[in-house]
Amino acid sequence: MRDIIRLSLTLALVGILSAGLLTVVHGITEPIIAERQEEEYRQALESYFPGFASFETEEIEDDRFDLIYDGDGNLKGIMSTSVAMGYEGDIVYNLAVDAEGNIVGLRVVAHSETPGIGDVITTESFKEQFYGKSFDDPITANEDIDIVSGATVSTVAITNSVRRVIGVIGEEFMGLETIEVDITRVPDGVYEGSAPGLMGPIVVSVEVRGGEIVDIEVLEHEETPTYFIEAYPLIPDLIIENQHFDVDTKTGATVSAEGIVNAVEDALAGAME
Amino acid sequence: MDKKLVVSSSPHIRSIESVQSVMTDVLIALFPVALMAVLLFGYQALLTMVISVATAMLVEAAWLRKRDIFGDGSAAVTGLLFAMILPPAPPWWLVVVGAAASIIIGKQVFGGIGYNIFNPALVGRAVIVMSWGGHVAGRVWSPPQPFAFGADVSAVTTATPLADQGEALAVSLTNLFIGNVAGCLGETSALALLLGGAWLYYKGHIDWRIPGGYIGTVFLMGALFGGGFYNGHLMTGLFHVLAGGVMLGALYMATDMVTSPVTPKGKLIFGIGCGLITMMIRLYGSLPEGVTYAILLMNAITPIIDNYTVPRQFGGVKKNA
Amino acid sequence: MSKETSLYLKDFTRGILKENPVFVALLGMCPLLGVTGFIVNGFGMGMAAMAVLVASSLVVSLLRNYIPPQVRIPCFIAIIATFVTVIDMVLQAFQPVLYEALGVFVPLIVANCVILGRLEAFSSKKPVARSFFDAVGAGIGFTLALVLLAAVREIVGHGTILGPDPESAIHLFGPNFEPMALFALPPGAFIALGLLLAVVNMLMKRFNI
Repeated sequence: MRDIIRLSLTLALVGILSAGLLTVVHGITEPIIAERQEEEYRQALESYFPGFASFETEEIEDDRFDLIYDGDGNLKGIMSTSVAMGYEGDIVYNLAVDAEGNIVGLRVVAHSETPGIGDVITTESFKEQFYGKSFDDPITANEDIDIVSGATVSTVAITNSVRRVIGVIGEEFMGLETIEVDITRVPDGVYEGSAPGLMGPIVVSVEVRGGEIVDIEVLEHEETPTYFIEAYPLIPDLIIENQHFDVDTKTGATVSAEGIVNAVEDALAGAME
Repeated sequence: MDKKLVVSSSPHIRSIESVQSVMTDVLIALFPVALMAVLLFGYQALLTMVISVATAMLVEAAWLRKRDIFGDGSAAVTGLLFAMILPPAPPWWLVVVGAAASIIIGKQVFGGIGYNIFNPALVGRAVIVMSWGGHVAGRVWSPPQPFAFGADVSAVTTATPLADQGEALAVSLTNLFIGNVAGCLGETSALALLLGGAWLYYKGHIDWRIPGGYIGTVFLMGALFGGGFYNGHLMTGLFHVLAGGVMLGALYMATDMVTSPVTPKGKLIFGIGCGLITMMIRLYGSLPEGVTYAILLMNAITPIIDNYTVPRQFGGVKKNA
Repeated sequence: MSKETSLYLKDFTRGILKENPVFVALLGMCPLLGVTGFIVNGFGMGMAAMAVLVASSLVVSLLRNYIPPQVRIPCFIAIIATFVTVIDMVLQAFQPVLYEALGVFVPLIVANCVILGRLEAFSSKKPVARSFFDAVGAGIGFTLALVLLAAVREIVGHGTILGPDPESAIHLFGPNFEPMALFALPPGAFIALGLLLAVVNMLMKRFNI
């Protein structure tokens, strides 16, 4: 019995001592760490938006958007913080966009991609491909963004995530309007449209007769064949069956499926004009 | 040997078959494949093969500190097989490093011939695929230019039929069979591979079970799960057998005596396993081709397969479980 | 040289070569294989592990007569964990770049067998001064192994030294060199370690160490 008490006391004492030491060190280092991270973010903001005065944070779903203002209260740009699904885990990155909607900076905050392979996403030569692009650009793998072979998953992940985020920025903050497609008002004819898939653009032709979509054909794509069969011809069939675009794209190839839907929408949006 | 009487432990069966004679037979079997590679891809293919074989033999001789460069011929076989799984015109240093890695990491560190766990040529390929993926994967494959020996085939590159559905549909089954299609040096021509395989089978160096199990499984899985994109399901199965490295792997690499099981049942399991892994990678993985990793993975479990498939001795009694 | 000095010297040098924690004892494989992509990271990891090893060695040696043998392992682990956490926080505050590079491997120093091994085998039985020299020696030996392996992997796998920071990285073979990426990857770590062990064993045999 005495033994047990003695052993427990020793362990407790060691525990208390170590807890005490950790508390002291934590107290010293915590403010430094927080300040450093804040400072790094501010430095990044300063480098993308020189002379900015203040920013306002807005959160839309999982993305954070900091609206950057100059001294007169004019919008200088937007810095987003988003997460892309990389090969080894989450890639946290900032996207800096100026007031016209052009990308001025891409900053990878944290990632765990393979050193020497997936970490090309942090190199300037990869990132600069995005600079100057806006929501008017395709920002699509193998189209205007070169994918690094050997690091396909990491680079495609960033590309697709940037496209999504800049789309959100365009719609929420830059007044980008999306054309509402009303199938019944589309004149008869065959229309072509394209939209990004996972690995490159997907080009479709859509045939409309009597206010109804009667045929959808994929003309070009660069998706992996074994995945693409999960989306095609299933998704076109669903669209034709339902006569609207709000179909379930959760397939084995979700991004390809969304690409087909968007390409069809693009074709008909062109026809509406 | 100058002694008249040699006393040794069993086995006492004598055979005129030696490592050297087996290796010579394999080299003969590889001749139609090599010839086809040169016919299709020209002088660059020949150069790649020469560099690879020379490096393999020199490294082996240097490692063993032997003057006899040809030795038992196994290094030449490894070097030639390694060249067969390269694109038509890779940089010369890549061939040298890969062939040297085949011999050193693939074979000699385990104790030399007979002791290696993995197929040396495939180890060499795994090393270069991981190191210089840009040179041996993606759109680096040159379409063949038959009978144009001096042509620079590497000027044009494309994707293999396995990697790109568009390429696949553009290739006829006949061309796949003859080998008039982009791919590794030795993998394109099923015709030449079958000729060489028949020779090996005739000489008794390979068993039907490994290639049979391998190719059969690939065909079945291709037909059942391939999506039938190549003119229907059965044709898709056939496409998966003829495209890529299945024929080369099944006939020449999976059948490597050292790294495959010795029991008949084990050989069948080994072949089927190779086929399953290959098709898993092709259909559901992110790589277009899976022969290399399939055979390497099955090599790793060869001892386990052997252990569980020991046939019952004649006259033996079934063990009660 | 007095008898005491030579004893300290022996404690010190033993861990560097003759009983090198990596090349001879094959301990601490996890950080060894995990962080040796670049020399800088390997060196940082070695230093961090050495700091923890020396600090906990001193404490354990000081307390060796007060810790009952039945609970010594939990006590050791608690002491190591404390110092690891301290190092972790200090690195995050003052060496953020190294902290990012080492990632999960700093917290994992807790489970580093090199440290627990030295505590159990040496510090818990020997006086403070000798424990100190033993810990420094083993720490240097561990760092040496990390740096050696990292050098092989960085030079062959990236073609640089002093990377990955582009400002300090020196490209050894010019811009056209295509590094052998295998050695930058985890499987390459195993292959490089195996080859390095072979070379070290060969040299040790030849020089009779």
